[in-house]
Amino acid sequence: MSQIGYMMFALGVSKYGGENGLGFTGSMFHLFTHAFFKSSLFLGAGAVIHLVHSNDMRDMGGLRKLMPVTHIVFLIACLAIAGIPPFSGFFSKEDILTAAYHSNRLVYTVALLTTGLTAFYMFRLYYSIFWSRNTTVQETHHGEGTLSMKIPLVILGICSLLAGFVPISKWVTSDGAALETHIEPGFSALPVLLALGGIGMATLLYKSENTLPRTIASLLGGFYRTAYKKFYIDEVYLFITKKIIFNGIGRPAAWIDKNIVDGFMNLLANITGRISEFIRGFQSGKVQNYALYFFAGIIGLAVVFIYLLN
Amino acid sequence: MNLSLLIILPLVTAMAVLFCKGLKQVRTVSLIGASAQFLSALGLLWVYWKERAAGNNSQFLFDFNYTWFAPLKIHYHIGVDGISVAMILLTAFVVIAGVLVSWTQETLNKEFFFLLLFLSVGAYGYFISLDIFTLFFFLEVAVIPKFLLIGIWGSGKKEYSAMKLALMLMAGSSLVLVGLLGLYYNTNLDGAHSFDLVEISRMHIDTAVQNLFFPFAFIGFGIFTALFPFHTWVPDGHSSAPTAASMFLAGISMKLGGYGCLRVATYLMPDAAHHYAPVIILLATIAIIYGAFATMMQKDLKYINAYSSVSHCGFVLLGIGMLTQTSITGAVMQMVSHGLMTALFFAAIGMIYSRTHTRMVEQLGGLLKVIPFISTVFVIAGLCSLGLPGFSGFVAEMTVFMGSWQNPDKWYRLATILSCASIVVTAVYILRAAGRSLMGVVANNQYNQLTDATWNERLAAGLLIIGIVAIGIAPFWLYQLITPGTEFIMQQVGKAVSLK
Amino acid sequence: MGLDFLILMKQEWAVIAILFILLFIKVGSKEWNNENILNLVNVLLLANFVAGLFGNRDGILFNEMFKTNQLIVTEKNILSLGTYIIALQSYSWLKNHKHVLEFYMLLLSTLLGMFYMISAGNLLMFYLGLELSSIPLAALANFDLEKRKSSEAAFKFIISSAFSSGLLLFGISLVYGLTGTLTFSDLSQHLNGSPLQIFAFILLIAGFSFKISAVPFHLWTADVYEGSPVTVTSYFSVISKAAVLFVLVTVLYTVFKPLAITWYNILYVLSVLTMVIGNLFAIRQRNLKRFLAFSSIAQVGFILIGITGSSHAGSASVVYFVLIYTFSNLGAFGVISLVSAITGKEHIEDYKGFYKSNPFLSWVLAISLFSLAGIPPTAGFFGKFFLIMAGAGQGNYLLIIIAAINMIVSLYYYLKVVKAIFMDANEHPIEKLRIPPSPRLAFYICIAGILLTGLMSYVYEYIFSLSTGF
Repeated sequence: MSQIGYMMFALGVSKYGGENGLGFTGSMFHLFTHAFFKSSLFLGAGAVIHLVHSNDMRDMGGLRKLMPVTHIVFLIACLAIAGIPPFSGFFSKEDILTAAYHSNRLVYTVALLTTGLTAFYMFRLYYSIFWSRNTTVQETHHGEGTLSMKIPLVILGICSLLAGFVPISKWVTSDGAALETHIEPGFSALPVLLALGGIGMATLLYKSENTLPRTIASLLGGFYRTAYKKFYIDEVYLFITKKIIFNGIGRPAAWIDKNIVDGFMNLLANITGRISEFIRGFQSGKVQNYALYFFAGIIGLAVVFIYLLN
Repeated sequence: MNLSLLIILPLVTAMAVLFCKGLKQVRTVSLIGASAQFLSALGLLWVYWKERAAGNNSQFLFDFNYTWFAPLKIHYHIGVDGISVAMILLTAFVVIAGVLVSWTQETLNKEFFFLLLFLSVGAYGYFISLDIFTLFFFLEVAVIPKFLLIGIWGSGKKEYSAMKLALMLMAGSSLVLVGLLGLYYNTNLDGAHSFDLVEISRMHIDTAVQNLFFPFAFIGFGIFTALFPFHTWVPDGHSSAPTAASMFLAGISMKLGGYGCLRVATYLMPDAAHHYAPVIILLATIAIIYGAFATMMQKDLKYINAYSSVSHCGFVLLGIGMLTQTSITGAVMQMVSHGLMTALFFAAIGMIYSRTHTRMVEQLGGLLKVIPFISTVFVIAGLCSLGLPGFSGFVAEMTVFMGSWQNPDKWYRLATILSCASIVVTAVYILRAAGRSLMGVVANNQYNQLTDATWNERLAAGLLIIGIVAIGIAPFWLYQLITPGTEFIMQQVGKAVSLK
Repeated sequence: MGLDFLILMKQEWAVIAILFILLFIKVGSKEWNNENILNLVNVLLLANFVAGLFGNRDGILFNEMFKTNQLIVTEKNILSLGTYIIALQSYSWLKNHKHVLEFYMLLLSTLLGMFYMISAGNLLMFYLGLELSSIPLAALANFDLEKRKSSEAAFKFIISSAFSSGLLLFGISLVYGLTGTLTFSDLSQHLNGSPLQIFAFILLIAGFSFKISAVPFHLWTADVYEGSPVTVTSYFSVISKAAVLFVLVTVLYTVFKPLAITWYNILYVLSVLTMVIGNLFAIRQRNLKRFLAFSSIAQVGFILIGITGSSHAGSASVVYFVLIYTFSNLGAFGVISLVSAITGKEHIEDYKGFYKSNPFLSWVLAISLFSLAGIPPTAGFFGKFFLIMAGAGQGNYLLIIIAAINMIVSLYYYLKVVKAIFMDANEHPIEKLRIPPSPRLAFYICIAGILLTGLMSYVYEYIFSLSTGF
């Protein structure tokens, strides 16, 4: 999700044409590389879940010996996403950051910090799956998985490794003209260092089981909880759908339909029935009354048509 | 091609059914009849293409005019354009699927199939009529079979629903009657009056007269297609009806109304169509949004689909109300798409109900594990309903939105945006319903013994899915089929604008 | 003149001949058993109907007292056909009745009276025919000899009828006093719309309205229909009404043409009242005979709309509708008559689950009711559509809207009966009934009539070609 944000913001800082279109190219480039390392991650995670029959990270740990291939691929993908050269993510992220740098410093700063954060959380994931405590999963009846599971993993891993060398800026640009991109080591150093810092911190905290994470969590307090709850965004959604839309709109709509709109139709029918009940009295069964009505009918017609309408 | 064949085939089949003995014979004869209809509808499409390809540009093809009641200038005048062909195809698909899902209809099977086939006579006749008397005749032909189908073979409060449906639809056709007569007496064809659709479209009816009678015709037809606030027969009627009847009701019968709104009300009274467009759009938008929200609160699968039909048919009316070429084409596409989709939906619900004996979402669960085929059908219908690309619903709704947006009025655009937004709500209720009834743990141990779809159910669902996907993946053929028809309507509407 | 009076009055002679045959059988020494008599009567009535179809001429007799033309002949044929159907249907009821011959003699006397009424060219002749057709009807209403209700019905009918006849006669005398003539062809020249003429006209209209049970002159209808034997009720509601309607159209369209605006408004009021009140009463009825009585009142309201059309199509539609109404109403009454004769059950509740035991009768009843409600493809749809269409020709759309609303209400109660037959469960439904051949034939005729008279357009075209217009 956070990577998609990256691409979007790259599109946002991009201007049309020439050198200014770097953001656009970068975005597309990142989309391209992202496809590989993200699918490696997912596939790897899938393989892990297949093995441990759970998708809760707390059930995992120390799997690097049990599933070596997955381990390697996962590591490559993590390095790629963290933007460590020469993995693919480095190149595409580089383009984006350059574009941001030329466009707006504040945005650039935020993007930069995110780089570190990304590296941190990816490696937290990596360590808690493959390192941390010793595996709790005992010898299972199947190992890492069949060949058909491994081959795609390997292919994707290789791609994550190499996709950065594809000269995409030559092909995909905002105005169709090829764009020369070059790596400036000075500029690249900062994000890479930040990423390494993130990785280092993750290593410190999560490589082996220790109490450090909990200590930090309690130090950060509210912020950690908010983040843990995904900044409560899901709750807000749930509140809007459950409380406002369901109770506030859906239920009244259904109620109105049943009781007012449909009620009106039924009311029409009932009124007809009531009137019918009411006029029943005229049919008394007495001939003298019938004669009276008969006569009244004649008088009525006579009055209307002779005096009123003539 | 002789179009009367489309009326004669189901009629002969219906008669033949009466002389059959036992379910086996009845259903075999019905299936043969329905297949013959199906083939002739496909044949019609084929010859229609050929005729158009050969450069025949007249508005209606295969025109046949027979003087029926000479003193009153009533003709049995039939003919088709692309719109009618599309509707006939839809009818043929739904009829054959309806016969297939009723394969094991034990009680009073002869009457059941007779009424189904008889209902289709009304639908075919309606779609080929070019004389508004004939059209009205066939419109009413289709009412009473529905009453009997729901009342006799239905479930729940069937008598109430059947009566409500019959009365509300009859109210609709009474309004249509007033509208038609008003139109008739204001036509002038060498001193005489005319019911002929083509002739009326060529003369100019006084604007004041149009404004007076347009509401009668439009609301009258609108009731058939769940025009807000006259839609309340829809949920009750659909939910009480037996599966095939629900399919016919939502798949064919509601389309009669949309077709009438377009072909009679809008086409013959274009000035008034402009005049009342804001009202139509307002009602359609309300129906779309309100229908969607009301659906969200339903717990019965059939009610969910019935209410969603209110919402979906709102798109048809929206498209008609917007009065642009694309939006009207979209409205017709939506009619076809919704017809197929909702028939498929009801078929799936019927299959689930016949196995689990409940339609309540909370009593279902985990069906995907026990009856995967039916559940998949359900999901496909649901995805089509929420407008997933690749299925017909997306194509149709997209066309309506695009067409609506072409209308530059800012309020109309607001209506378009709001209608667009309703798709989210659609997604909510469809996914909720599908998620709760199909995913998760199997709700009831008895469900583990359920058997999946039989061959006839698979065939029925398969046919409808083919239709949906054929439109979803390659919408151009349908678009090209409908467009000449809508162009004629737009000419008429355009004339009205230029006169102003 | 020569033999004209034999040929022009051919249909009357035929009825008279049948009457005499029956009389001879009655006074003859030989005892006939009922079934033979019934079969004989049926054959004779069929012969009467068939004979009416051929060799007709237009003409005038007895100083314009009696006139005939193709339309009148057709109208009489419709009545003959209706009587034939009723005779076929009454088989089950009369099979064990003591006075079969008397029943038919009375019945045919009324038919004769109606023939004269339709052919009348003079108000007095019309009155004579009217009385000849109503007094025997009172006796017929009493024909369920053991039932008190039947006697009550007869008594109520004769009293009300006398009352209305008295006022009608009063109206006729006023007309004579004002114009000095009672001959139709002269009368119209003397009408100028003076208040007294309008009053006289209102009295006449009241007399007609009594017969066709238009509101508010309808109150006798329900009690009499309910008390009478079903066969007689169907005769009341179809044949007797039809005859008066035929005359009403002719009289209004030709004789009272100078008062067209007045009678248009009067009929407007009457038709609205009749439709609305008839329908509202019909909704609540539990007894099927009473139910059909009120529904037939509502039907008259629709016919009045057709008459207000004041056009060629208007008069044609009325005759056409009456023909269809004959088939539809007799179809419904036939079923009720059969069930009532065998089981004595007449309530809507008794008909619950009827379809399970008697599918054929159920379909006959249902199709007849659909036709009455005006549902295609039955002929009732065409009949009603043309009536309303004729009415709409006047440009009075309010009336048409009221009619449309009433069509919905009437559909409701017709469907209620259909619902009882097809949908409601019943532990003790009416058992399976054996249908004797002659009622069965009557059902076939009715169903054929209901299904064909509408779709086959030449029936309407034929009637249209005969009627003279406004």
